[in-house]
Amino acid sequence: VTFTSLQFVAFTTIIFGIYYIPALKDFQVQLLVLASLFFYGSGQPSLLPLLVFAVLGTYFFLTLALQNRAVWTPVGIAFNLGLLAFFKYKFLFFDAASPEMSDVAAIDFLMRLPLPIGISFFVFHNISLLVDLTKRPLQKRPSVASVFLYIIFFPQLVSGPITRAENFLPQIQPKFLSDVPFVEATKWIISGYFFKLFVANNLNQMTTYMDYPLYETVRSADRWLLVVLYSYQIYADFFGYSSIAIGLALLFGYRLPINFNLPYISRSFAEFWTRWHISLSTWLRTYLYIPLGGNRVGRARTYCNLMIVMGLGGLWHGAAFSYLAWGLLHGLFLVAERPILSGLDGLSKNRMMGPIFNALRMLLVFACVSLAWVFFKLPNIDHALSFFEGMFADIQTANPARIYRSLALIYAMPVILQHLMPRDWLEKSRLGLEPYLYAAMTALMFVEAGADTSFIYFQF
Amino acid sequence: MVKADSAVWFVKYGVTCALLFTCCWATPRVFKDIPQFPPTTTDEQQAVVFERYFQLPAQDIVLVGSSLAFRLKEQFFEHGGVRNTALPGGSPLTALAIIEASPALRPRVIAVESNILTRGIDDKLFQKFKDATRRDDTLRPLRSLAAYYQSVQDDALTYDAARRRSILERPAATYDIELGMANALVEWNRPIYGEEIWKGASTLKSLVEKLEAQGVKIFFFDMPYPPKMNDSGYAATTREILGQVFGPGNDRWLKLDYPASELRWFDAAHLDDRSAIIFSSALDDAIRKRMTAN
Repeated sequence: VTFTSLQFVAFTTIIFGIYYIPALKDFQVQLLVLASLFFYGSGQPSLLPLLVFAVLGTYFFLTLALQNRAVWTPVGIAFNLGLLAFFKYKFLFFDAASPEMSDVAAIDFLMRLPLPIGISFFVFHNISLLVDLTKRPLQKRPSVASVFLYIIFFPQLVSGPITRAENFLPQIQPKFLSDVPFVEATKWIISGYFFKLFVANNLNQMTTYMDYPLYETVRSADRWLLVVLYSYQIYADFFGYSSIAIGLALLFGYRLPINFNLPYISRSFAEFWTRWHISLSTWLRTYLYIPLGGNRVGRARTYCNLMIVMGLGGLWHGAAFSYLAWGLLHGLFLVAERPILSGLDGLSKNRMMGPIFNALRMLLVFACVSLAWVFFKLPNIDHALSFFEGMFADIQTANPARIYRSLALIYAMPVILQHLMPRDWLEKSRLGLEPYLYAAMTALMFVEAGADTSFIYFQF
Repeated sequence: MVKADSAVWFVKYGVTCALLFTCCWATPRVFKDIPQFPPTTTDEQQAVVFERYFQLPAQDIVLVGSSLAFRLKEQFFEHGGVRNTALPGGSPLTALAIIEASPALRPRVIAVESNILTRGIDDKLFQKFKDATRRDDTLRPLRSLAAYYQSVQDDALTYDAARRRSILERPAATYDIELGMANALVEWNRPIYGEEIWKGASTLKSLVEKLEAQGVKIFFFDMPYPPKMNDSGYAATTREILGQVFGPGNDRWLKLDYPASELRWFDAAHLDDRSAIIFSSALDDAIRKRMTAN
C-alpha cells in the first residue's frame, strides 16, 4: 500500500470515515495505531514484529530513563542505533544470497531479513522521544498508545517528516471534524500528488538514462541536462511525499512540520540546509551537532563537527560509500563557505549589484547541490565517477540516447515556477485563482501522470 | 464541518476539475489527428509497437523479433504491407504470443527473427495486449503540445523513397565498435545460455505450430551479426538448438541475398540505417518470393 495506489486512497477514506464517528471518539488514538500497523504490515508483514519490538523497547527504556536519565537514555539510544546499524549495514558484511551464514537458524533468519521500510525515520523518532521526554525532571510518562502513535503514525511512518516528540505528543487530544482545515489539507495533498505523479514520475523516465549502463550512450550536454532534471525530480518526489503526509495528517487533526521551503533559491549551503529536508537537518542539529559542541568550541572543532554531522547524515541514507561521499561533500561545502559567508552576505546587500550577485550565488549553490545528487542516483561510486567523466569529455557513439528538451521543460516547469514565482502570490491574488490552479494540477496529475515508480526516499 | 468560504473554494475547484476532465475526454473524440509524442523509454516503445499493431490497418506481413529486427523500419520495405512488431529489449516470443491470442487480427505471414531466444514471453506486455487493447482516449494536453513541436522539428527524419536513396548512395560508414564488441563477446561466450535457449526454442515451436494450424505462414530469418559476434557461443548455440528443436527438413528459413560486405553495425549487434535498408530489401524480396510460391 503506497500513497499513490488506489488501495491507499480506499484505506485512508475508510479510516477517515470511522475516525470522526462520535461514538468512537475515545478510541481515536487506538484506531490510528491499528491503521498504522495495518499500513506497515501490508507492505512488509514479516517485519511488523520488528517495528513493534522497536517501539516497545523504546517505551521500556523511556520508562527507566524517566527515573534515571543519565543511565537509561544513552542505553535506549544505543538500542535504537543498534537496530539501525544492524539492519542498514549488515549487508556490507554478509551476503544474503549465500546458502548458509551460521549454524544457527535464528541468526540466519535475522541476517536474511530485508531492510525494514522507514527504519531510518522511526529510529529517529524513537531517539527524539527518549531525549525530549527526559529533558525535564518529573515528566509524566505518556501512554503506550500515544508512544505508538507518535512513532508509527502512518502518514509519516515511511519517509517522515521527522517529527520531534515535544511537538507531536501535545497534539494527542480528542479531534473533531469541525476543526479539520479541509482546504489547507486538500491543497497539501493535491500539491503532493501533482509533484509526484506529474513532475517526478515523468522526469524519472528521462533520468533513467543516468543509470548504469544507459548513461554510456548519453552525450556530454545531455548529461548536464540530466543532472539538473534529477535535481528537480528528487525535490519533486520528496516534496510530494512530505506534502501528502502533511495533508493527510491535517485530515486526522495533526500538524506535521514543513519539510521543504524552496531549497533551490538558497544563496548558501548553510541556507540550503534550512530549506531542504528541514526535519532531518533540524534533528541532526538538535541531537548531534549541538551535543558535539556545535559552533561554540572554536573554529577547528566547528569544522570537524560539520564534517561529522554531514558524513553521518550521508551514511544515514544508506550503506554505500557514495552516500558517505555525498554527505562529506556537503560538509566540505559548509566548511568552505563558512569563513566567507558574512562577506558574501555583505555584498548581497549592495543596492546596485546585490540582485545579480544573489542570482549568481543561487546558481552556484544549485549547481553544486545538483552535482552532488549524482552520488544518490548512482550509489556505485565507480559509476558515479564514470558519469562525471562523461560530463566533461563527450562520448563517441553512432546512436546516442535522445533526451527531449521539450518534455524536460514541460515536466521541470512546476519546480521552476514554484521557486521563482513571487511568494504567496496565489493566496494574495484578488482574482482568486487558487482553486482553478489546483483543479488544473489535479487534471494534469491524472491525464499526464508518468509511469508509476516508488518514492525515492522509500529506500532510506 | 466545511465552512462557507471553504465550500465556495471546493465548488470552484470541483467545477473546474469537471470541465477540464470533460475537455480531455472529448477532444480526442472530436479531433482525430492529435499528435502523439514519440516513445522515450523501452516500456513505452514496446507498448507503442502493439498499439500500432492493433490500431493501424492490418498488414499481410508481420515481423517479430528483438531490438535487432526493430531496426528494420516499415518504410524500408519498398513494397509496403509490413507491420514490424519487433520489441526493443524483448524477443519474438512475446509478439507471437500476443498475435496468437488475438484471433480477430491475423496476418498472412509472420517473419520470425530467430537470433534472441533467451528472453521469454513478457507477461506484463502479454496481459496488456492479449485481448487487443483499445486506444487511450484521454488527451494529454502538454505532451501533445510537445509532440506537435517535436513533429515539426523531426520532419526531416521520415524515410521516404528519396531519403532512402540518398542514404544508400552514401558509402558504408565506419564505426569504432571494437571495445563494445570485446565486452559483448565476453558475455556471449559464457556457457550459461543453453537451457534458456532450449526453453525459448520450445516455446517458439509451440507458438509456431498453433499459428500454422490457423493458416498463418511462418518464416524464419537471422539478423546478421558482425563476423566475430556471429562466431560467439551464444549465436552458435542458438542456431544449433533451433536446428535440433525444429528438426531436419525445416523449410521455414528464408534464403536472403544481400551484399554482406556492405553491412555495418553501430555497436556489437545492431545494423545502422543504410545496412538496415539493404537487409530489409533482401528480406522483402525473400518473403514475397515465398508468398507467391505458396
